[in-house]
Amino acid sequence: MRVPTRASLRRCQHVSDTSSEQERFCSALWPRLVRAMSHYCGDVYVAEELAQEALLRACRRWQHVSALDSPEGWVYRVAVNLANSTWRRRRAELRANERHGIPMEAAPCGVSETKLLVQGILSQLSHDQRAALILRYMLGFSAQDAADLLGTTPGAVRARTHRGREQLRALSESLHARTEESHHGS
Amino acid sequence: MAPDPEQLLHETADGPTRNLDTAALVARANRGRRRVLAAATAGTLALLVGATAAGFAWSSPGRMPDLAIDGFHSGARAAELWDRTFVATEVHEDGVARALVEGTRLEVHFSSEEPPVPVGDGVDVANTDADGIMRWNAGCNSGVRAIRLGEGRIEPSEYGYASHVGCDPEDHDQDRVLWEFFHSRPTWALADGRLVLESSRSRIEFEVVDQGLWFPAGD
Repeated sequence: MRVPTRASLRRCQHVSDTSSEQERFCSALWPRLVRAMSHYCGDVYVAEELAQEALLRACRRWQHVSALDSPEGWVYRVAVNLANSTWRRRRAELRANERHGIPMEAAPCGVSETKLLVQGILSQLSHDQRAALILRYMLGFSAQDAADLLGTTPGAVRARTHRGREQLRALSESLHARTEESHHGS
Repeated sequence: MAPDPEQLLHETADGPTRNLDTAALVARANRGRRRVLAAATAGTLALLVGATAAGFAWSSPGRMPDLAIDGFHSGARAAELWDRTFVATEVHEDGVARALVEGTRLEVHFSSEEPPVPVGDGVDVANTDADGIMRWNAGCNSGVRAIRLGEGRIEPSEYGYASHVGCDPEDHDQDRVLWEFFHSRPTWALADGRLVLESSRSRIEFEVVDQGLWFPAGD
């Protein structure tokens, strides 16, 4: 019977530690990333495909990604890159359709009015505005960190988030006023 | 009180409809890397076997050393390729030596930088499909292509461009041949500072240079 050497055991241990670390990272980021990307691309099934692909790439370049200040930011940036690439997005859509066996047109069914209104606001924003808004207000990045990820300045990030934030605030106030009105009316 | 925009975003975001099979994902991600590691191990073992055989042959006159290094996959040496410049010394097409256009020099540089992909509005994001960037110049125009070095082949990625400088027709023809060659997924092998790229029709041998003409050190 072959006795494993100390070096081979260390190697196995290293591979196993890295895999566990990767799995923990993916598990923790998965729901946050899917939620962020569902707002970015407007479809949760496509968001899942994009998030999965981005996490796969993070694991492939783990040595590089795990040494970064913000591995999460890197994965988000990759997911946005994938979403912006037309043919990749189309492929993600096809995979999502195949996986769930439902036509894309069916997605709005059962969606709340608030969600549709939020999606309406987000869809009016440019890619850059949407990416900045999600980084800042869904993933909790500072203006400086978001600027580093998007390759711009904190001032530009603030400018990009301004419009969406104001529109969301107006929507929130109008929804709140309507709820108050209906309470008073009843 | 009305919810703030952050709350509105969080409340209306769709969560995952399924669990992520992280174990399968990590296994899939590490599969390629382990292949390269296995190749490196095989290569090291082959060299050790070869060295042992050579040593044995020295002490046993009449026996030829068996340097079985065929298993030494070039992918294991990818690290030696990055951030170096090579200049072509021999070009063969259909087995026949082909001379470069007089006065031209074929240089190729492998940069390990993360290839950027412009996505509009001045924002660049990384193309993580690729391992790095290959640049080349054959005397007139330069080409740039994001590449992967997996499986012993140069796999071109989607990001790339070429300059369009007006040159003599034979220079243009040389540019075109090289563009096609670099996009034909040529195999690559590196040994003793010599790089060999080979497609079904062509084979180009390079030697490493410290200072390239088109791609100086650190470029």
